[in-house]
Amino acid sequence: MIGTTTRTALRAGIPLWLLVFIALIVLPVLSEPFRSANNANSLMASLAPLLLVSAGQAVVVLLGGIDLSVGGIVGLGTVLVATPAVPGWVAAVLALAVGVAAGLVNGLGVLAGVPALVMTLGMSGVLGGIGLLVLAEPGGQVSRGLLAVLTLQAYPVPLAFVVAVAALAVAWTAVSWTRWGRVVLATGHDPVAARRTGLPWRSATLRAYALSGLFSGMAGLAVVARTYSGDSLSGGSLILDSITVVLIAGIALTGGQGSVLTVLPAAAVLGLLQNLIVLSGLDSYYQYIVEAVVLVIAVALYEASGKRPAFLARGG
Amino acid sequence: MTELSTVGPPLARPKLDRSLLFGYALAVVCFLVLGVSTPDGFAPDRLLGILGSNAALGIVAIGQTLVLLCRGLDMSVGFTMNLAAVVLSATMAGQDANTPAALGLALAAGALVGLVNGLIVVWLRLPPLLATLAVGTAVQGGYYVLTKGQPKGAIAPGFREFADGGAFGGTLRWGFLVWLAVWLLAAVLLYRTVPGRRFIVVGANPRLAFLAGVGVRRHTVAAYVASGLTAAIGGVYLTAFAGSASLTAGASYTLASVAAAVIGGVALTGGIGSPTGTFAGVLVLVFLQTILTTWDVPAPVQQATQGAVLIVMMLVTLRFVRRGRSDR
Amino acid sequence: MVGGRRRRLVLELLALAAVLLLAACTSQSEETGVAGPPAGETKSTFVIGYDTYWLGNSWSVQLAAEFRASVSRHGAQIERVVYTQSDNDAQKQISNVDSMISRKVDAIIMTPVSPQAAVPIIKKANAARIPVILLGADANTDTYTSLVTVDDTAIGRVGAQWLVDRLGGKGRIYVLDGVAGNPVNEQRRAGAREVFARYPGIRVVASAAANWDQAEAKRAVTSMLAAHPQVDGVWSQGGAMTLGAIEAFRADGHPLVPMTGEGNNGLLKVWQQLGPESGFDAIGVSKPTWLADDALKVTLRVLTGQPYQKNDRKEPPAVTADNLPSLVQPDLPDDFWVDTRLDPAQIRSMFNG
Repeated sequence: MIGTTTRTALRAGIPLWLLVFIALIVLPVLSEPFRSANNANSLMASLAPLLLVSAGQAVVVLLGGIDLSVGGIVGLGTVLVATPAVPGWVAAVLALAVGVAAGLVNGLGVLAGVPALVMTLGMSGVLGGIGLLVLAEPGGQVSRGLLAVLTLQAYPVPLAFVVAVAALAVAWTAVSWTRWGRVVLATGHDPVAARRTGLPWRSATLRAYALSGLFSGMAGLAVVARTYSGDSLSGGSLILDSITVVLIAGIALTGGQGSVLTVLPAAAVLGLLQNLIVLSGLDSYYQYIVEAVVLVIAVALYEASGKRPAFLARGG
Repeated sequence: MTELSTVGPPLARPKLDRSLLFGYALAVVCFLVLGVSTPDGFAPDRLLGILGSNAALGIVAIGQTLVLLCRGLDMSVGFTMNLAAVVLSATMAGQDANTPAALGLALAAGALVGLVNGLIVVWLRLPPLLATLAVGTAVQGGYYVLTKGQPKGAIAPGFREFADGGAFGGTLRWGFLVWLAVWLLAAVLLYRTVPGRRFIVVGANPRLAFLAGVGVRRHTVAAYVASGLTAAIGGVYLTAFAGSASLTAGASYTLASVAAAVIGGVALTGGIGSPTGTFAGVLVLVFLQTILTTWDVPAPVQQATQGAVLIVMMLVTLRFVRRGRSDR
Repeated sequence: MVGGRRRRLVLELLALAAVLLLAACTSQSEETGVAGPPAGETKSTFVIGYDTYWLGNSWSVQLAAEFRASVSRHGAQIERVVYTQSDNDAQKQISNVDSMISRKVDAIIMTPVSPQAAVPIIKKANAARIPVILLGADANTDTYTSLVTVDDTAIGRVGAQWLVDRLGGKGRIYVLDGVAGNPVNEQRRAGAREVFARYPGIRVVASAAANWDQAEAKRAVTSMLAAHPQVDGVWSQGGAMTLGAIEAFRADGHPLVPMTGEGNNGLLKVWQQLGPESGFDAIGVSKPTWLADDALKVTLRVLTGQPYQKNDRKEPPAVTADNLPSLVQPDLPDDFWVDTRLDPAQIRSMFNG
């Protein structure tokens, strides 16, 4: 049963995969700078944080929630890593732990009945404020040893990108093939029914938000790998970008429908678009317009093709 | 969405009244803290001044409330405010004589954005969060491309004085009066007219409204247009207040307007709440902000406090007002 | 059903059109593009990468306009300029500058959004042997080719010192900061606090981060005036915020006090109108936008092998009551910054676009 629905959910992502493959074949032919190893390296390095945050966001959205605190967690994560007072390794672990803790508090708030939007928005303010208290201006000092590990790469493929893809694969597997994943989908699909049938939706909710927090903490490390510094405000753009990616991936905001794996081509589409706009010399304000149009078209396409029976449309 | 709608809350009023009371109780607490915390804190002049300078949030939050009431969400209000500011400044070009035309165009621009939002939500059936975010982002891109980052034109001197002047020798700021007027208009329309009551039914139970022959789509679009309009009014007032158009000034208003509505007891699931509740929510936010500023609290602490207060207020509201109701 | 299918078709066509359009844009830019120079040959014209750090406030817009004006003055030496725009986002800036490295430009001019985050990308450009010229903001490394700036700490310090002297070293003041966490904000603030710390008679009674925004500053000062009506001066690190403070004082009927600000025309116009008898006095300390012109000149010197100064930290120019009449431009909008080398036509086109 899970097998069938998983396949159905994956099928919705096929056009997106195709689009990415075509783009990866066509663009290098059209554009000389695009095919440079440097550009590939830059593209993958900038995609890593987005992939991580989006994977976590996807799980929360599948549950029927939303996580606006991801930016705050990323920012605080970079700040903790860049604080000279804490040794590098401890700081990295601390960044991940803070992510998990923030996610757990989000989950507890949501379980207590606070709307996810309000809970995570409030959390975002708290984390952002703490980040600025610890490090008032962007900078700080990241320990050399940690930085050497974070920036490891098999040129042009950065380690952060590999880890991000692996994390995404783990999240997808967990949602598709574990009991927890099924509870997340069931809760997103129909919260009332999930509660009445006695599914462990409480622990599933906590774990989903904790996962999003953990991934955001990891994204913080991926940002440090690119900026070598801490900045409490550095996660700001990831909030909307991750929601955009999740929506392009065809995951419904109402929950329970879509596949975490499709986040990969969706993030790639967004990343390629931004890359293309920069390389084409187009005024980057067009990026706003292009992204909005792509977003609306993608979701409208999903909506228009969503004529299949509802029970088939939902799955991991 | 429609298949779940039969689970929607009934039209019973007592719950609404309790959350309303709670919102105002909070506002009173904040008011008392504000008054006690500073010498001469209860002076009516000062309070009216605070309300006048924050009228933009009050006005914008009313439109947001209407959208929330019909199960929507308007994430484009901040961008719409900036658009209105840009249009106002460009068409006014510093001349008092252009004021009426500029005002008309700015409000029309806001209404147009609202109309596009509404049409996308009902026609393409996109989730409101997404639709309004996409439209807002496109609007933002639009005014950046058109202005190249520099708002054109200027605000007429006569219109600038509008922000500082007021009735009764300036004690009642015009902005505050506009806020009150919009609030009264919304409340009267909602509770004293037939279309308004239909609108409430659409929010509370779209399925029921549909079966009863009420145009659900029409009413939903109307809510977004209203929100676009109030955002434009808010943007225009903010511009008069600041004296020049800004491409970024509206940004913080999107989430602040949602927060104000939520604190005022408006449910994100639609159907529950009222502009009157939102009024209390705006008061809470405004008083809190004023308290933090006058206490010379560092900006990061202010930010963290506001986030924590939002969460705590929601938790307290849930405990005392909406027991047993899930609202996710 | 039919409606749904038609709608889907329309949307698919739209999507296709959008993709084709973008692809067309890239291929077009490549036709005119950078077919790198033949190795070993000395060039007489150059491809320069310019990253606009932001276009979100009037100063950043004028800085970009100033750069474009300078490019048109030096057209003979410039083959092409590759423009990117970073939206005040450090990570976007890294990607943008990285794209310039991919396109093998001859030199990169950038304004670091974050001094620390710019370090890895500057080093990457070093490795690719592309000179990097920093315009208007420092980076936490010394491997850049040249730095052309006015120090923000100095801007904060000069304004604060003027205010302290004007108040005779004693008084209650309000502080208006920009965006908390922004490096420019923190540096100006640090410069000012350093001065205030030396005068025990100076008391900061209230402060707010008003985001360099006029409306927010007016709102903040309105509540400050209510809470602390006794005030002798305002240290504001932004010209628009100073205007907001003046408006708040006037709306409240409070007599004006000395305030610091920047060299933006809006402040200068109001200052001029108020006249000395109003009790108002100010100093406009700012980062001139003509730095962009100097940055391009240095870049061309670097590329043509002429001597240049590595660290060009200029003293901040200040507008005071003495030179105010010669600098204020009553006919130009408030958003104009007076420290400029733009000619009148270029200024007009910036505002009437």
